[in-house]
Amino acid sequence: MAPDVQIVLIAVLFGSQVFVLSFFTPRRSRQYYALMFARYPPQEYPRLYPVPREKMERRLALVMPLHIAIGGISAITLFVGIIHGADSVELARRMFTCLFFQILPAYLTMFLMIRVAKAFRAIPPPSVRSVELRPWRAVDFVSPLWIGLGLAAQVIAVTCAVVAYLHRREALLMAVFCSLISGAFLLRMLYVLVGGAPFKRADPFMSPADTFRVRQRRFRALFRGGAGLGAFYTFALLYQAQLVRLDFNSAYLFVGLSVVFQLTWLAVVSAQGRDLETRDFSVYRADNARKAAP
Amino acid sequence: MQLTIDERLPEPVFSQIITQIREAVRSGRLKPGAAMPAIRQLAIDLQVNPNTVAKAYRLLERDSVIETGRRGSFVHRDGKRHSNIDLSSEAAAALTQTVASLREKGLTDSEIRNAFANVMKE
Repeated sequence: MAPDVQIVLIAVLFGSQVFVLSFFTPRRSRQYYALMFARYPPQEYPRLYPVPREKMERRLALVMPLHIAIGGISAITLFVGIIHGADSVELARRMFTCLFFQILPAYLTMFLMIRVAKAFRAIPPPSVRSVELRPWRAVDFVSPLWIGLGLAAQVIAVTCAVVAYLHRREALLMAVFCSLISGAFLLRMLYVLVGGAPFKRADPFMSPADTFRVRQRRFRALFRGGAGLGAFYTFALLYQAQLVRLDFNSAYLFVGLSVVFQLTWLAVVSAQGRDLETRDFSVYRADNARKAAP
Repeated sequence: MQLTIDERLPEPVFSQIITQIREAVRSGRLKPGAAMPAIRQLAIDLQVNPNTVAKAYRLLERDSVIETGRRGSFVHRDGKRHSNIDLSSEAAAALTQTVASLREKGLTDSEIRNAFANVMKE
């Protein structure tokens, strides 16, 4: 590909990254919360707010200006890069550096989400509760193919970590890092497969269908995400150990990462929007006395 | 088949679980050989202590309503017949008869209680 075309494509992707990560997805996320607060106010749906709405709004109010500020700086970085005639690798590197900062506000939101999730789990369950008397298996939530791929990818990644280190001592840091992460994934996969229990309930009032969907999402994230991560680690380790040599412009690595992050963020806000339309929020009403579990 | 517990009732939760599973086996809604959920899974879904479910399963296994092996718990092949056996009710009936007989002989309630406590200590 001609260098000018590469630079144009990377610049377009950089612009897309700035727009998606700093403006579009944060705005969609804010709209989601605004809609949720308007449709399901705490006075009528007290169980939906184990963390008070005001606290959530205060924390969320911090995040948006941060997104805009970082997005603005990233846009300036892109503009300066183009003006100064940066080559494709340099532009891609700047794009990756901006990506790192653009996802920082998400950590603030993540801490809030973890706090909300913990608060939900701490709610005392309703006095009357039902379950379907049937044993759940992992294949009820995720296909056997993905289970196999997820397990295989982690095993291969751990093996490649050892091979990479033995082949090239300089790969030690990467080998340790990848084997720790892959090992943790593998243990978690084995635990949910043989441990005899699916993931814990997200909250005691969630409807059976929504609880099933949440569990399905977690199983899929574990095994599909594990498969992807394992494959990536395998490639990275073999490349680091110089067992695999590819003649490609390193800019493509940054391009790949940017695409993955953008798609992931878009998928997350899309799932948020779908949740708002499909979830059964009536279970959180103050007058709803009886709940069921799958 | 839905299993429902109500913590407002005086009956303990483990007893409610036992009663409903027995009834399901007796009525045929749970067939012989049907797999039962794992203790931890049922405890998580019902949001009760795993020991509560474990106790219910233990008592059902004692009465041969379910059987537990390496692959998990299943409804006993003769579970329908065994579900009619209720050892707790038999114990209550036997004790009622014994207490009535002792009262007829003139023993006070506190003497009966002391005697029962001494026997239980052995």
